[in-house]
Amino acid sequence: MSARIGIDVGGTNTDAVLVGDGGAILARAKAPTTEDPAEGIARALAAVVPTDPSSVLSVALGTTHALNALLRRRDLGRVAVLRVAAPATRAIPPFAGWPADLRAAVGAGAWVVRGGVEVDGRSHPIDRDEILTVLDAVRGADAVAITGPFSLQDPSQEREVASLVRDALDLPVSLGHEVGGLGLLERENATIVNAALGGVATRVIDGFERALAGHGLAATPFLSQNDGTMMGVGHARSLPVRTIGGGPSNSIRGAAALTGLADALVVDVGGTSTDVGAIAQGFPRESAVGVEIGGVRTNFRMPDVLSVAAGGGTVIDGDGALGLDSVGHRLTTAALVFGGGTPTLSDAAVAAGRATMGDPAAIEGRTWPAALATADARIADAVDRMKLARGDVPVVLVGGGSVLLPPGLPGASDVVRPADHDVANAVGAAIGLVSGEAEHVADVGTDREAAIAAVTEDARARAADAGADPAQLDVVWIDETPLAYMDRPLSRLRAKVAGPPAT
Amino acid sequence: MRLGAEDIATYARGCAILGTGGGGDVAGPALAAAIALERHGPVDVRSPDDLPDDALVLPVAGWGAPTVGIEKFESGEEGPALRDAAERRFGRHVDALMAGEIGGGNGVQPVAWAANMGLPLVDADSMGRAFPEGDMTSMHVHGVDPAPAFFADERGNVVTAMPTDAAWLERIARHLVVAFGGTVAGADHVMTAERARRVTVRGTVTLALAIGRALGDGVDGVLEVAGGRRLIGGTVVDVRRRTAGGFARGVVLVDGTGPDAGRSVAIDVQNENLRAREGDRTVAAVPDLIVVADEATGDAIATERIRYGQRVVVLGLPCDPVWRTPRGLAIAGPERFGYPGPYVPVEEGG
Repeated sequence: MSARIGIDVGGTNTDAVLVGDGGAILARAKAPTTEDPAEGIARALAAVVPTDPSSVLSVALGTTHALNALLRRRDLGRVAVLRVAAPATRAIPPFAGWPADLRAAVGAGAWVVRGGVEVDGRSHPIDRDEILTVLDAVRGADAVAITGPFSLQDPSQEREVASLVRDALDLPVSLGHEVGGLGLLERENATIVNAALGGVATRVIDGFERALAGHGLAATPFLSQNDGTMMGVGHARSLPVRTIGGGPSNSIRGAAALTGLADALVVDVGGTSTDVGAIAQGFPRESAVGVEIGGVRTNFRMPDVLSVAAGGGTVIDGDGALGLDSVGHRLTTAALVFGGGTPTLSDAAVAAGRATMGDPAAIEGRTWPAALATADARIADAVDRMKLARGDVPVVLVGGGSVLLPPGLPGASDVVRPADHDVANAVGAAIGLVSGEAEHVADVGTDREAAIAAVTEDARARAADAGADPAQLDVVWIDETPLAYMDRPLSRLRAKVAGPPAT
Repeated sequence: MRLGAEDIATYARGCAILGTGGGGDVAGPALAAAIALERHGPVDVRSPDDLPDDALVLPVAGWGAPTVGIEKFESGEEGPALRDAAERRFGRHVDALMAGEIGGGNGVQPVAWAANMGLPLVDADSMGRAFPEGDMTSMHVHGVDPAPAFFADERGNVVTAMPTDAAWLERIARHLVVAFGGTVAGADHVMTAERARRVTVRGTVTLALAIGRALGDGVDGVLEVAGGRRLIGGTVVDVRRRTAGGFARGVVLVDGTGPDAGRSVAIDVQNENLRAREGDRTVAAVPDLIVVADEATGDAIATERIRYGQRVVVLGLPCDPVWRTPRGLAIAGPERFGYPGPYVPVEEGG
């Protein structure tokens, strides 16, 4: 009998589960998230490793290490940036629009050098002497980011410059076409952030691999990524930026796995907020626009999640109205039922008989119907706004705070609260698929089918590279957006494939 | 009025609203403008009334595919190249720049150029919004010839053309876009301030800034400064796209939520949002402005970026009166885009 382990590092708890072949949860653990997340990870992992460690095929980790490093501007590498485009694009140099403190922490010089690819396939030659002169001037960099216009179509110039960099400097290199999507500035930003996170990734993955070895686990290690899929740690070492938003995706994927629903809304009630996400064809629905990471514009898509201020720790004011603030992780000491002095949504739920927790005697004779009604309305409104079609949809409730909700939800055809809903995030990590995404700008006039096949093939190669079993890959979506004002029918083609890991 | 680095993000948001779904991304030009304004200080925004009669005004715009513009953007030499070409042709100094198109990135880019060249920016444009074709200008409505026209790429190539009318301007520009790899910077309808007072859409730089500021109070704040009405608030439930005749066409379906629950509005798109229908009734149509904005942030969403699942508010804003004249409607009314008339102003529709 084989099994898989999933670990998810959240703001409050680090959760781990051992999931068997058929999806049964064989072991589960919750440990407090620690200042150095490695401790919490080790503790949660220790509690779920089976007696026969060789039965574990894979261990997937969803962690906020990379995001925290960016938000706190800590442990970031210094990056030298080469954009191969001049004279085009000089009006907006690399690092434009970055928060000053992040730029100061990361910037180790930026150059726009001659070269560049055009949308019609022409390219302008690079100048090797110019690049060698630039490389001579690089001081104090830990990594190099290389980008260029239309490199998704033709990455040859990024690769050519990378080989010059590797010959001249012994530094890791991040290439734009491997990191981001269409939009040079956003792709460049993501590539710089990726390069800056190299040291953090190395430390996290080394620690993760040591923890596995310490438990005699020979399982393949994976890291969760933004879109709810995962990648092998070898791949993650060179693409750490993709691990930044793994948390909410894991929770949504876990809700799908625990219920068997492929299309549903997921309501995750935590201590400070309620997050409403959506499962569409088994995957978390993505946000429509790119997101800012640590104040930097990127073109990464994150799961489409709507957050409202209604969690177990949301504070009720003196007039009995629900506020926007929360006591957060202090819930178990601050709420009235836990002996504290602050009325919270948890107290209101206990008073109304919805939930059982703490000491009900502490709120004897008190009720907060207005606050409960406000919370219900906020959540119902979020559910309504996340729906994509008229009519009622199934809703999956997950998270420790979901006991606060009323038995039915307006607009829901069916409300499901699966067993183990409070470790849905770790389940999502454990059962993750491995994906690959590719994006081309291609002429679809002569042979549209071939153009679509090419971008799909590219996505398949990337998925296999990330650790997927090439024989079991399925197409998740293919997206085509025509380009206007061109003499030929050019389209922006995107493809995503996913499948189970190779082991 | 002066436009400084601290205003540019607000101004760009207003230009995006006036882009009515097109006009190109504002994020890149806003960064370029912020860099230029920080380096050279604020740009003077002048009413054509405050310029001498014979001051020479250079209307400028980028032509081409927005998707190309987000990969390959400008070197910074395009604006000076256009000015130099115009000065050589006219044998005198250019006194002010004007945005050819206030909507989208084309409303923002001239701020960067004006700052870099130390020129004032005229508080006007030739559309009051974004349009997909170069002949859809207020100058064309007033019968002003476009020639001479100047074009410059990011590598120092400059073309001077003498189109015989607005249709030829459009045709020539379209070919140059292809030759230069998807985008080209252009200047045409060079005119005196005296003429600019009569043939442009006036006050649009001020309007864009006011709209940007009004967005601070939510999407509906736009109606306070631009007029018009809210068409629906809801979720994008379907996006159908195809390309025909060089244009990206499509239909976006918005299902109402909250107070608009049970209603549904379909938006016909061809680079810009051109027509909004509820059932078989047209509730707003070009040349009026149809704006699809993100419900949470109030930011306008470009037609290329509208996606299934987005939560949006759709507004209908009135166009400049020049477009409601018989000749204005012949040039940029619903029938010009293949939709049946007659045109009904958005204030009276629905």
